[in-house]
Order: sequence, then C-alpha cells, then structure tokens
Amino acid sequence: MPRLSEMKRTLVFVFILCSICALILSTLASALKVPQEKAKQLDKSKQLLIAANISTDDVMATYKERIRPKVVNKEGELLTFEEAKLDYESYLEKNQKKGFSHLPFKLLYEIHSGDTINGYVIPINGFGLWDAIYGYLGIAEDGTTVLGATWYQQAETAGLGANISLPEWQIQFKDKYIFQPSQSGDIDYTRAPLGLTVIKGKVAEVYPNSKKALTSIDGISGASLTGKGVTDAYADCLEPYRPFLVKLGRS
Amino acid sequence: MSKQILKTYFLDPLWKNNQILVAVLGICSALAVTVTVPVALTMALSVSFVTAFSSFFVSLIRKKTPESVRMIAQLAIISVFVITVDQFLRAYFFEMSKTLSVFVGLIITNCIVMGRAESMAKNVPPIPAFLDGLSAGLGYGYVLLIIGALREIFGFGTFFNIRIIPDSWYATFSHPDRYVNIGLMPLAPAAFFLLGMLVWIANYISNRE
Repeated sequence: MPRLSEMKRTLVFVFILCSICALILSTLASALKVPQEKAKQLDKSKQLLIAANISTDDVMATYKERIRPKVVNKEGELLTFEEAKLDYESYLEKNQKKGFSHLPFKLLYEIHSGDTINGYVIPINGFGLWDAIYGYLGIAEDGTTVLGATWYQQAETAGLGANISLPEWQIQFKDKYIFQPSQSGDIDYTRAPLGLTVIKGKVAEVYPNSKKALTSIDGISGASLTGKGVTDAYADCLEPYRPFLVKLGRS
Repeated sequence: MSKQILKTYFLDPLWKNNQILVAVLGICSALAVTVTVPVALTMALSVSFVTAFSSFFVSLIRKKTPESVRMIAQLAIISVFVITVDQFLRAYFFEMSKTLSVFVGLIITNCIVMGRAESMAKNVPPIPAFLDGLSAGLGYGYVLLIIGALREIFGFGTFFNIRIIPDSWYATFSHPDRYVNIGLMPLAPAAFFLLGMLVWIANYISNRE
C-alpha cells in the first residue's frame, strides 16, 4: 500500500520538523528570559520616573536614590513595608497582575529629593479594549496636581489605542487635577469626583470655560474605547486612595 | 556553481526583481514601520535576516519535504526565525520592540518571505537560496529606509533622531511665515504616496534601460 507509507513519511517529517522548531524556540526563550526580565524591569523603573517627572540618564541609580515604595492602609496612613509586615518582592509578585488599589495595604511610591518629599506615584491598572493596561500616575504633595502619567504595558490597537503609551499624548497630563474643583475653584476633598477623564475631542474645544478642563484629557480619535478604559482605570484605582489624598490635600 | 551565477542570484532581487518596487509585495509593513529611520532600519534588518535564513533552511530540506505539507513546513521554519528576532528585540532593544509591537510578529505573513520560499528556495540549492533571500530582504530594506528618511526629515525635521532642520528655521508666533513640518508625513497615507512615486521612478528607469 503505497498510500499509507506516503502518509507515514509525511507524518514523520512533520513530527521531526515541529520537534526541531520547538526545541530551538524553547532553548532561545529560556536563554533570553533573564535579559528580557531585566529590560522589562528597567523600562518599568524608567516609566515610573517619567510619571514622577524626573528626567535622568542613569535610571537605576536615580530610581534607587529617589523612589521609596510604601503602602497606604484603609485609614489613609502611610506605612513602610516593615511597619505593614510585608515583603516588597513577594507583595509585588503576588499582586502585580490584579493591581494594588483593592488591597488592604495599597502600594505607593514616595518621590524623594534629598530629605524632602516631592510627591507620590500611584500604580494604575485597568482594562483597555483588548487587554489589561498598566501605568503610573505621579501626584504632587498637594494631593491633586498631576506630575506625570505613563502606561508601560498595554496591548491596544497599534496606531490608535496604543498611542496612550506615547510621550506626546502623556505630556498633557502634567498639571491636571485629579480632584474635580468646583466652578469657584474650591476643592471639596471628601466628595469631589476623583479621577481623570479622557474625553472625545479636544479639551480646549469641549470645555473652553469650565473647570472640567482641569480634569479632562484630549481623546485619541479612533480609540474611544481605550479612552474609556483609561478613564475607568483612573477612577477605580484612585478612589481607594482617597483617605490618603484627602489628608495630603488638607495639610 | 560559478561565482557569476551566484552573483546574479544576489543582484537580481535588489533592483530588477525588487520585491517592493517591482513585485509590489510587503506593502503593509512598508506603510506601517517607516515613520522614522531607526524603526525602518530595524525592520529592514529583521526581514533580511528572516528571508535569508528561512530560504536557506527551506532549500536545505526541499528534497525531503512532502508536497502535501510543503507550505506548512515553510511557515514553521519562517516562524522560528521571526520569533527569534522578536525575542531578541525584547531582550536587548526593549524600546524598539515596543514601537514595532505587532509588526515584528507580522513578518511571518509578509508576502516577501513566503514568496521567496515558494518561488525560489524550494527549487534551488541552499547557498543561492540564502543569497536570494538575503538580497530580497535588503531590496525591501533600502526602499523602507528611503521612505523612512523622507518621512522623518519632512515630518519631524530629524534624521536618525538627530535634528537636521535647525530650530531657527521653524515658524514661531513672531515669524509665522517660516518653515513648518509637513503634517501628512507621519501618517500612513504619506508612505503610500511616497511608495507610489518610488515605484513610478523605478519603472521609468528600468523602461529606459
């Protein structure tokens, strides 16, 4: 039966080819795992510094010198990891994926400049159009002014939603407010809506005379669902930090 | 095989059979990744690497490959090299891999790679196939670089991220009549027009020959 032997030959060929390909790829993946993790870590630190509005050439050194991880409890008190009896590495590892804002001890990074504190960076996570999105938001020590914002991990549509990771888009977050001020300019810290809204169109055109302009960000045309995801991510992640931010705002 | 013949294998896809300008293949990525020169260069090198080595290996096993799974076998080989490039970029050029995002993975579907495997590599010995694949990639690469250079210079005023149109030439509030960047250049349609013009020029020149 020549048909059967032909089929056998084909099967053997495919099996061998696939095994070789799989072997090559798995070797490669395990060999490159360490440098890939390192590159990812470096990028994360860099993005955090951008959110903190610090520009530097030596990312790792600046990060070590100026950024301190802390946690915030339900009452809005700032604790070190020792005080909260947590281990930083395992805490990160465990909660990386789901985010930190829903935990009893919420992650926060202090920005130091010598002995003074310049502000805080809050990790933000949420869902874009296709997948989870992760970013940072830097807040000044007044608890409401934004220092900077970045999105370091996303899988949005290239050229549209993916533009949330572009510096050109992120630059407009600087000096926005996360608490919505009333029309007279006062902020009611306990009740004011908390977050940043990505609107449709340009802020200058949509809110020419409204205080809403202070908490709104220009939308990316063709990416309104990603914009909604970003808006929701800020609202969901900032709300749990409110007790802490209120304290900052009042002091 | 004589040197002369090998040379034709290498030179043919560079100009006479250029995959973009003559065969009009690989257009999709040519539009997407030519906004600036560094991006275009990375893509050009990646594609050259993938076409060269996948052609080599497709040709190496061409006599053993059963006809019925020919294309699947080619795809498997191509994807090994594409994933290699992707993983390598992620490890050592993280920022570039973020900019290129899906487009590196999409090299698998770039018609040039499959086209070379199907029309050349499966019919000739490994060395000519390698040369043919390499030069098909390079032929694609230099077109990408030309488009990338034009888009970067006229769209951003820079070349390889270095400013070449001086800041003092630019229009300001006090001198609104000075130079401005062409806003169309960073957008995909600009690549489309530039590519069309390059195809036209290439046709014009080869018709005269």
